[in-house]
Amino acid sequence: MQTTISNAVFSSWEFNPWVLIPIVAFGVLYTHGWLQLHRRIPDRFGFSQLLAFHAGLITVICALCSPLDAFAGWLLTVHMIQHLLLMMVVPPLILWGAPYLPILSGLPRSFAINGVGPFLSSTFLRKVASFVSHPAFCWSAFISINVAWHLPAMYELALRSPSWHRLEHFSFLTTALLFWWPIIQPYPWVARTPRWMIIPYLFLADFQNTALSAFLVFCGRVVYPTYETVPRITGLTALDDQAAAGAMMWVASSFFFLIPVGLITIELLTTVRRSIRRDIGPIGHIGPIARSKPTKLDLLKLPLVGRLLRWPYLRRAAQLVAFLMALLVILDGFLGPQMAPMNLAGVLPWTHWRGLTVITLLVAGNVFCFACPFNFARELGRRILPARWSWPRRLRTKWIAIALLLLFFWAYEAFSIWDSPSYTAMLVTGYFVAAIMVDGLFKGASFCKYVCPIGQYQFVQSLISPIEVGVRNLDVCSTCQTHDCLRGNATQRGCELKLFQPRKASNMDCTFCLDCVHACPHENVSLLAGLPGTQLVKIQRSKRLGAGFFRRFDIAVLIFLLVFAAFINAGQMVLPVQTWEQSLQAGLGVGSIQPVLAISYLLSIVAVPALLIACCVWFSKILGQIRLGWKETISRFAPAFVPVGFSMWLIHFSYHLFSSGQTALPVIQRAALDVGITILGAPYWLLSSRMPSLDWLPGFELLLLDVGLLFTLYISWRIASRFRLNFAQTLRLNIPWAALAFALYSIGVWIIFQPMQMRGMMMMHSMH
Amino acid sequence: MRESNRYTLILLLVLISVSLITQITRADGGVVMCQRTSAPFSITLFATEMPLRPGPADLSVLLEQPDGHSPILDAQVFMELQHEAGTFIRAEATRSQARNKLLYCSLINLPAAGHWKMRLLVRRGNSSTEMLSNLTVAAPQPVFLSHWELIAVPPIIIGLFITNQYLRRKRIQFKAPLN
Repeated sequence: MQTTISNAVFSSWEFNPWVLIPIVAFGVLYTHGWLQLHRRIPDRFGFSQLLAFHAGLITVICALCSPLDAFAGWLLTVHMIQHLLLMMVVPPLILWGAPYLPILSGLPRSFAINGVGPFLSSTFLRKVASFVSHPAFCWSAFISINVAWHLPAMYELALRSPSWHRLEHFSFLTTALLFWWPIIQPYPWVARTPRWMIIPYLFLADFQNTALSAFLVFCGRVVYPTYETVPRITGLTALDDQAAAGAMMWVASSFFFLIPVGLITIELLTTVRRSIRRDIGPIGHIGPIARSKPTKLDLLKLPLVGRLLRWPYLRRAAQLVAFLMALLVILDGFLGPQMAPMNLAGVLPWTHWRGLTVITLLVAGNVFCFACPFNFARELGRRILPARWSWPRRLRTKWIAIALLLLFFWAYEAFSIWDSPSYTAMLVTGYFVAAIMVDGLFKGASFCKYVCPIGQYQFVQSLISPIEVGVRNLDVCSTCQTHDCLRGNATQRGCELKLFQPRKASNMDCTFCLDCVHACPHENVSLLAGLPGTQLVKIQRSKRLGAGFFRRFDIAVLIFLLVFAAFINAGQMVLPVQTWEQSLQAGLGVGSIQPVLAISYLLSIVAVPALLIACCVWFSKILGQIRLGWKETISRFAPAFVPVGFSMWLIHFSYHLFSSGQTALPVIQRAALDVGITILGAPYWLLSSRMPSLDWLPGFELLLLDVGLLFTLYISWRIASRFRLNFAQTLRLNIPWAALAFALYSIGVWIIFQPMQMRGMMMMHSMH
Repeated sequence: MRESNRYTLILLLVLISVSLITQITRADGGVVMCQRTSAPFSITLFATEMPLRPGPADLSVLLEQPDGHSPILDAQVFMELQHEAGTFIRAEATRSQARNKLLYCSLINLPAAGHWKMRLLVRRGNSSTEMLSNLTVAAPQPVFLSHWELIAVPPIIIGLFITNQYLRRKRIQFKAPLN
């Protein structure tokens, strides 16, 4: 039994991500920077620094994730060992690694220069850092925190509450780092007090430690009552445990204080002092760190992926699969059971397709348009229909698509399309007919560019995507005479959406058809991957886009429509909104909910957004003192709202996918059985009524919304910065747009924590 | 941006995101809620944090021999909770779910505030016992308190960003006359 108990004790580890993730991040940054510095100044950044730093990090893990933490609440001795590790072992090791320069060098260069650099060179912050690193402050902070947390009320608070306990550990570690700073003097910090001062510094700290530990040893009563109530698994009484903890604190801490006293005394008595620090000079003299030309990951150059993407029939194959699935949805929608959770048309398009599409937009690009089933049908239609007319010049805008989107968002709720397999089937069928008719009569991809509502949604959201079709080398394009990417050639058609690659700077209007990739005789067009959202940053930098998409009013209206629709569409799912609509219906005394829905839609998707945007324009003109037409102001700031809108779409659709993703299986089983395929077995309907545990989801959704808001504010700031105003004016110009973004964010937070209506499942509401 | 830098940034973003959304699911132990000797076991019931609130609650149990204070590690522990309104929850507490492997832990999702009656069933070989206890679950915290870390992220980053921009512009203005 004894062996089993000791096994149980020693297996009580928990690799807590709150601890591990920052430690791994710091470890990666430090190593990345150390590698660069070790090559330049190996005397300063040798292996002992690397080992010491990583040993410090590993000791943190041992203190916070090991059985020490699991049993700290039961035994004061164990708790004391944990605190000693955090205050006496970890800080000297970490500071011996001289982490300042390695971590700074480990950061991405542009972030280190533009993000961290201004803080490091700020006079005020330098003064703060100078004050905080002064030995008097370091000593006082360490001693105060040490005494404060050992007061019975504070210690008991930490034992009762995990949050306070984390704060206790955090404050111990940070003040101990400060305390050890003047003792270790990590490079490149230069001491401002004589070295001999460290001896009384350490003696005084030891004096305080002796007083505190002696009190614990000799006070004769249990100071922390919790230890009297917890089980005594070792047989040691609470008082004996306290005395042992006090003795350990006394002896171990004195050891850690007095060893440096001895070493510093020897150092002071040595006549020749090593002073490599001064020989090498300050930080600025290290010299520039090598950097290479900025580049993007070229997917077509990747070994297997590149070959697959270059395969000429890849798109047709993907479209064929999507086309067959769409046919199944139509057939089941018309012929299958008219209960959404039991029908392919009630589940696949509204739960899986939307969820997967939005996730694909975030991690890849406009994959839906690449595999578009309607485009596949259109190609078939063109074998019969002439496609000889040009799309009317007046209609070469997004207004038709905007009107269709408005119609769809209204009809979606008014007719509960998501809940009706036959309506879904009709919608998909109508889409096929429209695509075949428009592109069967008109040249180019007129349907995709000017009509398709799904396409417009994809184009706008793909501004967030990391992958875009772009040129590898602009110099090659400058010498190109044929422009095959646009015009095509004898074997391959060019871009049907009339996007000229050298001038293209975003995914707007790009269907990822890869026609330009296949047409370019110089193999200069490729699929380039960067970080999500970089396109939005790039279009604010790009001068050639001055007269492009993002000055067009119809594009701005499209963007704002999709942003507001994201919140309204999600809002329609939550119980309070539905209850409010029903009470409004009762209040108005109308028999049908349709007028209420129509009015609320008109207000929420047209009138209120228009009013809010008008207010933003008005205030930004007054506050920022800019001379710009209202249409142009709206057009300039519209792209900034893509991230917050996208995050709401992502939250909404991924919620359905995560909560109801499992519902595809029983529906597919049912559809297979209907046509006599028995291999999949009987439908497992339990999956359609049981929701997986999603306790983590609100936090995840909130994080997505946070990122969306911050990115929106960042892009808005960049847009405002292009007006070349001073800091205060830029800030004022941004205020109305930032307020609008915050308003949307607040609505999003509210929606996240409301009970949600389940879709594609055999239950109606779910609490988040 | 250099390739290696980009990957470092991606790694950092992923790590930060995961750390922000990951909840500590196994923080067993904590406050002693009740302690009884019910032959042939001595039973101690813990809750991670008091007061309990609706949502996931970490309840754990330590079983000991009543005489020798030696932990028992081969029993079966079941928890049954009944709300005053009738909601009933049954869960098994196991050592595999516990971080402190001397404990039997169960992460129970408490759906509502109010008074709950708890029945703890312990079985070991042929012997078994039960312990009855009352739990009071306080009203849920407002969203802003329960998710304050995530809600605090935007204002902090905005504050840092505005300071950064202010300092950058100040530095540029300072350098301008020299150029």
